[in-house]
Amino acid sequence: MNSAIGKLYPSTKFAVLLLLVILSVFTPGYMLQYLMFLVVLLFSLCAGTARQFLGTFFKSIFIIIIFIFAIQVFIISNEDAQPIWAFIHFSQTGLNDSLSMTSKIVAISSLVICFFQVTDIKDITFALEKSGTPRKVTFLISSTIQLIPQMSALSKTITDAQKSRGIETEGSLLIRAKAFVPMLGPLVLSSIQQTEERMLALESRAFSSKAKKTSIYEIRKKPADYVLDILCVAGLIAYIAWRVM
Amino acid sequence: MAVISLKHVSYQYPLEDHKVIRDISFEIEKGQVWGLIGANESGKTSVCNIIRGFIPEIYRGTLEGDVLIKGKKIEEYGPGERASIVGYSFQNPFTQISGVKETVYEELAYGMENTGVPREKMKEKVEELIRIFHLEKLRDKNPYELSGGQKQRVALASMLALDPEIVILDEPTSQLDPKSTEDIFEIVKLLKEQGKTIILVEHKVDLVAEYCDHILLLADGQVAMQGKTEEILTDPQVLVCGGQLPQVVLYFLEREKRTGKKNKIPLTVQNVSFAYPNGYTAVEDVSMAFEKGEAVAIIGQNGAGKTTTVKLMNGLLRPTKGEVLIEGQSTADKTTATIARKVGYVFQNPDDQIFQESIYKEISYGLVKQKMAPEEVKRRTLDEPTAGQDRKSTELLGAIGAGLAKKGKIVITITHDMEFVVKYFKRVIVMAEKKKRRDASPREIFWDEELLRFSSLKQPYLCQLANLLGHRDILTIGELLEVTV
Amino acid sequence: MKRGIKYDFSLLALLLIPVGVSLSVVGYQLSTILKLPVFVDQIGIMLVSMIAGPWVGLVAGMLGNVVNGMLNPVSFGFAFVSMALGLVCGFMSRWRWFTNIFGIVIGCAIINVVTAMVSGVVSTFMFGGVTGSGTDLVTAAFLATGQALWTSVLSANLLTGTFNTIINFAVSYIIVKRIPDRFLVKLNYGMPYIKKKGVR
Repeated sequence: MNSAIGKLYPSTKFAVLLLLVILSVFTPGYMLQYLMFLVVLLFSLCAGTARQFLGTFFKSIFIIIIFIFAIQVFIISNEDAQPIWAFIHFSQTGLNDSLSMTSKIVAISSLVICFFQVTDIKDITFALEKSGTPRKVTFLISSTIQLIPQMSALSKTITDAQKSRGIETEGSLLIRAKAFVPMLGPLVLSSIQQTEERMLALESRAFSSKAKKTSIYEIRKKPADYVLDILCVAGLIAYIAWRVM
Repeated sequence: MAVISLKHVSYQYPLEDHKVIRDISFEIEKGQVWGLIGANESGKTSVCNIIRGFIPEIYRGTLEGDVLIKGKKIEEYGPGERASIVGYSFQNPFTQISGVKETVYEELAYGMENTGVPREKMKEKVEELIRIFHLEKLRDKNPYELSGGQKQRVALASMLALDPEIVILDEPTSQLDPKSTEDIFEIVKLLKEQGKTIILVEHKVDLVAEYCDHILLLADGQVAMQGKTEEILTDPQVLVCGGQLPQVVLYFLEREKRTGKKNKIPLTVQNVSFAYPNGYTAVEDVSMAFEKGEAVAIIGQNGAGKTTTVKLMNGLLRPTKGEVLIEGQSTADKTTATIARKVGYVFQNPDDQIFQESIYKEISYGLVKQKMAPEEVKRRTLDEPTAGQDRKSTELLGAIGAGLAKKGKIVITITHDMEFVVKYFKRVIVMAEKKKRRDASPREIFWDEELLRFSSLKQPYLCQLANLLGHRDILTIGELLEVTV
Repeated sequence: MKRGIKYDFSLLALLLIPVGVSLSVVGYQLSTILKLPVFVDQIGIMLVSMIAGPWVGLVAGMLGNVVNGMLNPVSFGFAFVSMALGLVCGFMSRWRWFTNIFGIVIGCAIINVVTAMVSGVVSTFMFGGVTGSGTDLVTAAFLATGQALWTSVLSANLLTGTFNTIINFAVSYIIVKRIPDRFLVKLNYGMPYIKKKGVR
């Protein structure tokens, strides 16, 4: 997040994201969309998040793209299907459909993944609050994102504890399945019980105060942000004009 | 004018059929420091909740009587106002982290953000808090990743950011090691100097005696005794009501009036070292041997390697060098669960293991799970069992430990409670900086001042007293009496 | 006890949402580690909607997918499934369906159908009938027999969903029953699960 891109104001980056997504969704064909992937990759390089981007992208989107191709091209019985073997055919329309569909998925996913890799949650929360989002909403977002890794770590501790009491985790399916509830149960119950105390702790931090909230952290829009904002609006207008004509 | 005033207050939780607090009345003046003591379930936390206003607003149920804070009825304060007047610190450090801030710096500001304090003032206050609470090194760390003691300090600091006049501390040190406990009490002293009104709920009566000027003793939901510390904590009536007295007092009270077997070595740890995958070494070249029927206490500062060593014994961790032998056989190729049949382990933070109501039931749960008679489980490891327990429970734990040892089991306990060690253990192992430092009897260990200093440990209070009186090698009240009377 | 969008989002309910989301994540991780054939990734949502109501369940479902979506944007699309789950579960809980065996069985069946349908719609329109999981193999099988895309997807989801829903619900239900009464009293929807007699 220390790159020039990382330091831009979140709503600016969001505007760029929105514009590019609109472009991807409404442009016919698939060349632009696949190109978008490369554009995003370029962005990532500039922001220093290229490796992360590729890693996340392939872990998440790759499988579903392959499946889509597989099903659309080889399995679905379209009119122009040419049989290859048993129930597997090859369909040109299937291929075209897949390309069109997957390209959009690739484009939008790349944009989204990149966006969250170059934008800090802290910034997003700040920008949201500044634009009037209620505290309860930003609270939900921040606390959920922070809690998930903590719960994972906690579940590991509990797994250790249960192993110490003789609950086996290796072996037949039945043994493993029996281990599930003792592993998860304590975590759930203790989380729920802690929720009560957490509520009291938050009350002690004046959570329910009706005063106007302030923030010790701040970011401001810089000239670069305003320039980009204007470019985005211009881009959008130009695109709409081009499509209408 | 009394800052806190309760008049004929009674309270019943919803779903309960009896009143947890009955007809309580007391007044607290500004600037006083009150110690709230009593057996578990005597109503201490309920009283605190009432003063803070959590009862009845959050807990619902039926509340009778008058509760006045600074002369105003508590219901008349708006939401969020009370947080600025009455600060509350809880026992469990983990639940006091807001969970929405990624650095300690911002965490400290959270309460102020909610009450709309201007940014410049917040920055000033946070810097001040960091200074007072020695949080410089923790500034940019994620609050979730701090140790228990550090979390507690941050939680306290965050609560004080709102500058409340009244501060309630509910067993703030029960889950902390001695050094962190000291730090917290230093803060209590500071708050006292600032003129705040403090209510401290604690079991560590010796510390209460040192820092509080008044005592409120609760028994069975009623006020059993209240008054100045000097008067209350020197009265043996306290023991009858379920409270504890400082060691010094016990000694003077008594003054006013007047055993191991050898066999095959079941557990051996040989030249064991352990390093985490990232290279951090937790334990270096540690060797220990235990025989049947021994009750051993392992003591040392947090981070010395005690819990790691014990986890190496029960198989949760595997040595990176050396080996652990149970009845002569190496643990290297057994699963953790298999080892658990021979080595039982009770965790330090009750929330980590999730339990039955009593530690005793907890131990038997593990056994029942394996459908085994208690005799078959060879040794039990208790990790900091007396943290947060009152006198009765502590005695019960000590008795269980002694009972198990008598049956021929090996009982290994990790603890910070030196009095507990003196009472129930004949052998003490001191660990510091990842190595075993000394393995001897309590008497030798607790009078080895250099060892204690090196390991950041303190002598039991009675030894300190004996020292002051000019006598050495004393462990119990009886012995001290013999040389002073 | 008042209910409805305005009243359901007390601080306590709000705090349950991150817990619900995290539990779903942890449940999924645990079933992967233990190499179980079922994905126990819905317990968080079910649990939360059972005790905190349909609207809280809806938000929890949505939030879970949004957070997941930051790493895998496909989740964004399937948010509707979680949201539907939270909604249905919550309303059933409110109407006390889960207090007897008939309600539970019928409830689970309906939950399965609803989630399968929503999942089917999302997957057909956004992802060409694919979900990115093992269900797709079942879909392929149906397609191979010459079925249309929509029916194949729906049937596949229904089939794999049955086992999934039952297991997820069972675990959630067992856990809800273990939650202490004094906690349930504080929630708008906890009443049906309180053990003590005479408190309704």
